[in-house]
Amino acid sequence: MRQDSQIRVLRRWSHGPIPARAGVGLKPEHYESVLETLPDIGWFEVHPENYMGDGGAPHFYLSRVRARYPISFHGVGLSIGSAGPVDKAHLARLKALMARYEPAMFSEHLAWSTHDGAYLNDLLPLPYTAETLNVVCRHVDEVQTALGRRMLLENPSTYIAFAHCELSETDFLGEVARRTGCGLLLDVNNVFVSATNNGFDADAYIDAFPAAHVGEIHLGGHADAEDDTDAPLLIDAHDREVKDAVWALYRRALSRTSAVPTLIEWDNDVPAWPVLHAEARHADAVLKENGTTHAKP
Amino acid sequence: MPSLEQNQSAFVAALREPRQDPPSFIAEPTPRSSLRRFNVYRNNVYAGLIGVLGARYPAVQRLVGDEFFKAMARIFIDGHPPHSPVLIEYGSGLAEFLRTFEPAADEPYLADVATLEWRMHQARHAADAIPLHASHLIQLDEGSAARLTIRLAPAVSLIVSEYPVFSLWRANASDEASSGHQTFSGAECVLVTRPDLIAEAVRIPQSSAMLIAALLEHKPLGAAIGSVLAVDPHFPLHRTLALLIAQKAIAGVASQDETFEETPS
Repeated sequence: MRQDSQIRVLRRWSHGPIPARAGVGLKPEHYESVLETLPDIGWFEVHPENYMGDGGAPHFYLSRVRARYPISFHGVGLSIGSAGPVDKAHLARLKALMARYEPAMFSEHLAWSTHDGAYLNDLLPLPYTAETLNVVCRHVDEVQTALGRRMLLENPSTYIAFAHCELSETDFLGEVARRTGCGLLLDVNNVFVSATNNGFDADAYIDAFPAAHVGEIHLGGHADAEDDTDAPLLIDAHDREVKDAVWALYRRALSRTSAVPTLIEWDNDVPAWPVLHAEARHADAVLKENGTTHAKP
Repeated sequence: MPSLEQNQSAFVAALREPRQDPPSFIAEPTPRSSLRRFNVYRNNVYAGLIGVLGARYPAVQRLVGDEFFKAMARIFIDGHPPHSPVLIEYGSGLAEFLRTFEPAADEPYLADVATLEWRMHQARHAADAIPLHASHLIQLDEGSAARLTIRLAPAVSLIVSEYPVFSLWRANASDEASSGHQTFSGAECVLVTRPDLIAEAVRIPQSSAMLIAALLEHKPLGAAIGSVLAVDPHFPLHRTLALLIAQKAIAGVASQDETFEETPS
């Protein structure tokens, strides 16, 4: 392991934006492999909530990874879609952690996860109404103002839909981006999962997505289940390889967006590093192939 | 149409009550198809938090068995939901909960095992400290040593139990270690530290625990030693101090004359 003085020198090189390449979610299982082999990979993403302890191994490893690679913070706890207020104490902790690690991107979810002060540990679905739009825009504004930076908002994976919606999800996200200036994180696996679960066309969703606002793409694996009527029910499990249908949807998305940083999410049944790295290389190859076949402004 | 607040209140109420139907404002792609769909959310909320508790309290889980642990954790979660998305901080109340959890009354040591596991978890995430080098202590003469106040590292804590808490924990902390319900007896004291990145638990004599407890209360070393010697004249002072140094548990010392601190370099 390198000395701290060398780390400080290296840190200066790793500032700047995240490249339009593949990255992966950084898992504790891979800390040692990454630091020992310094793999050729564009960037890493972490959930900031996992690094809000005072010290110990998480900070030891993240600071060393950060010295060598750009990182992105992908929050799971701001509960942007809560009817209640944004947790200001949590926002302050997030801001302090950003000052320490200087992530090149910050993203959160179009979802809610807290209610009456209790944290529900899941990304829960929202009805796309004018009221929800106002709530989400107010919270995105508040977060961007507090953090002093632009955030990306991610389309959710959903298992149910609401009887009363006034906007489509793509129109809703486009309107949030237009009103707040935030960017969008297009999770292609979530599109596939939600489309299957809620009976809409994934290709049409990608075609309707406000592509100009996309600053990052997520890819991940999902699990197959069935609902009470034996209809397919896909679970956004992040526990396996990206499926072929999702790779195809990724190509379709890239034909509409600019080349953007793309993340492989694999959070459960985490594989050995070479398996995860191979998924990232696959995404890199698709990005490259897309770059040579589509000339973008 | 319910307001967003009404929507979320009803959603949460249905999440918490497994026998309740999903909220009526959920659209059903086909009639009666929404229960398993809604159960994905129920499962994510509870299975996720039960998993967090299981990873944090592996010895408690092995001692009571998976099925009991899951049922117990669910009751704990309903009474003590997390109040922050920082789940590193979740689960501190489990030991207190277990003290009065009637179905576990025949395993009265569980609460102390839970305390030990929580302290190990806290030690993993405690603030980093630069350990004081032994040479700082060796340089001191007896008189100034007595007036020293020893500052222990943030990861350091002590568990004093009337049960064989260390033996129970060690025998159940991992699948490899697991030896089930072996018969252990006697009271045990445990020192928890984090010498580098890994938290460690060490069984220590009761008199050593008395000294460390006094140091945790910031008593000067001389007074702390005196209070232990009054109870146990054969108290292993040198071994206790050597253990604290070996475990990198001493983060600084202060005397009336001067302060010794390692400064980060």
